[in-house]
Amino acid sequence: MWWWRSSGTLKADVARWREAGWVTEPGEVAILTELNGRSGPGPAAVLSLLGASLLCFAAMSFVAAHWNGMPRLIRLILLLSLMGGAYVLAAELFARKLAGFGQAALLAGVGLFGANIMLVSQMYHIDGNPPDAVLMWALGALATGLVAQSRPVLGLAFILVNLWGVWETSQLLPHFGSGGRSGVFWPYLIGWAAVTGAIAVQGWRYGLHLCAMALSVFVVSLGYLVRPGPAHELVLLIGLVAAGVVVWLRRAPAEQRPDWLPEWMREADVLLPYALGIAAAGLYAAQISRGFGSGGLGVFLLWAIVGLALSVMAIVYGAQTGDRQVMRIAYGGFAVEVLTIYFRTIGTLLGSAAFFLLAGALLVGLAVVAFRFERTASLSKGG
Amino acid sequence: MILEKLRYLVSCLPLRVSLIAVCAVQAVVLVQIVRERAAILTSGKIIEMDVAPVDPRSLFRGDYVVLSYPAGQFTDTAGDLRGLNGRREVYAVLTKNVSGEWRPTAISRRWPGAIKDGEIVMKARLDSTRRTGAPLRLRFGIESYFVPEGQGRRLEKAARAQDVRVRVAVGRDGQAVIKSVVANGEVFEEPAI
Repeated sequence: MWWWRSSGTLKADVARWREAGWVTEPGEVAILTELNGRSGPGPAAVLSLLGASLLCFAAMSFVAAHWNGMPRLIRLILLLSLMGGAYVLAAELFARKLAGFGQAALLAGVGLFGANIMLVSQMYHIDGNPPDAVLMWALGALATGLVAQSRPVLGLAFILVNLWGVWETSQLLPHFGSGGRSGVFWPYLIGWAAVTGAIAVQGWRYGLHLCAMALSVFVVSLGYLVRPGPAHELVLLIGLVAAGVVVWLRRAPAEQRPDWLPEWMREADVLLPYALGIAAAGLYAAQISRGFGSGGLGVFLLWAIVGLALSVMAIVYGAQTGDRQVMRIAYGGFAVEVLTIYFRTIGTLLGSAAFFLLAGALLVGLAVVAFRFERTASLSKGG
Repeated sequence: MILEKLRYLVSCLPLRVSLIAVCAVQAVVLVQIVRERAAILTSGKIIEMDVAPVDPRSLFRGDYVVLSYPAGQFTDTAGDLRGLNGRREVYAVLTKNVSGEWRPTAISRRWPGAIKDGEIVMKARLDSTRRTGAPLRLRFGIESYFVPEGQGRRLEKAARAQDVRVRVAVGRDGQAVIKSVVANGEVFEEPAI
């Protein structure tokens, strides 16, 4: 996945490819022009964003101080005016092509919206459900981020939606398990879908990765929070199905792929590492919860075989497709599985030795089969 | 492609207009909350409730006193509310007992039909930490009282002396808002705006 590679490394690679004659001079110039055009925000923009964040914290601390030297109506009017002023300033800065400062002003405006929510709830001592206030702030941030196509504001909306989900989940936990109640806060998925949709409309790739990570954590948490549980096998199944869909998308002819998926998502296996991560988390959690304790060795070894087999399949797939990200996850999974087996069976070293002997022999056998398969494939290609 | 169409729609909106619209919606939401609460404080029915406060601090809203209301406990003797759990919204009918304290006499999922003289209906939310068989715990949304930084001590002292009462304004829809706190005879009045 090329966007994980630093632009410095890519520029060095392009120079090397040019020297080797693989890239023409105009090609090199075109690549470097595009790379330079993709450079991130400059120091002025970054500093202004940081400054805006600090201004928001200043407003929130001002609210928290509950300073009664100023009547609260004046405090409210002041903060509402500052919020409106920040939005007007942002529009003006965008119109003058000062996008970096415009983003900072937008962020300040959304932060002040949050401070206003806190002020109003403080003014009337509102003690309803505190995550509702976070949700209201997130919706405001989402609307602003969407209409202004602002990545920093969408980033704030992402943080707020996740804070809302975690807070609501933590409120379900005291009740978790009693009367078969689950600890999963399902409405989080609506918030997640809304923020992911807004980020997708913006075409912000790193933001989409953040969303994929957040969803992965949510799916893995299902294994612990669904009742009756634990339901780690469900997590494993979701991970495997997701991985299967991604692999199918990659292998399917272009005309069979759904057209609503963005092009970069259809072409690159960006979601595969997340799917594999979910499957691995589900598998290890299932293995540990089912296979530890007295009498669980047989179950543990069954899960170990499944884990090793899936790791090997992922390594083979990664090697075939040249997907280094998948191979890294699969190697990691394999290593963790081997270590887990070692620690679980320690004390019965003869058993460990027998298991590793069998597993090693099996892998060597698989390697031989893979080698023959690759050789046959290359011979048939060579005609 | 749907995403491309959405992106095109968003890019068609003039930025100034859309930002003003977003700002206006956010301001209207805030002003609406203020308007509703101010209306309850000015024209709501006033009752005085006994409380047992403790004194923590909120990350965003500063120092506050947690007000725990004895009226927030209800034993469901009839067993009508067995199915109620989680943080569901309910309506509590409160009446004054012989000691002059407001206590819930009935809880219902919907707004109770006929309300007698001397009764008041308050919107409440069930506390999610209720254990099976224990009395229902109700939260009226007036359990936090925010105070200026460092000024919670007076209330704390009054709380130790068990001398805190809260005047609550109750709206027509049962929404409760703190009107004033009376601690050691000192009144902390809350203006409508």
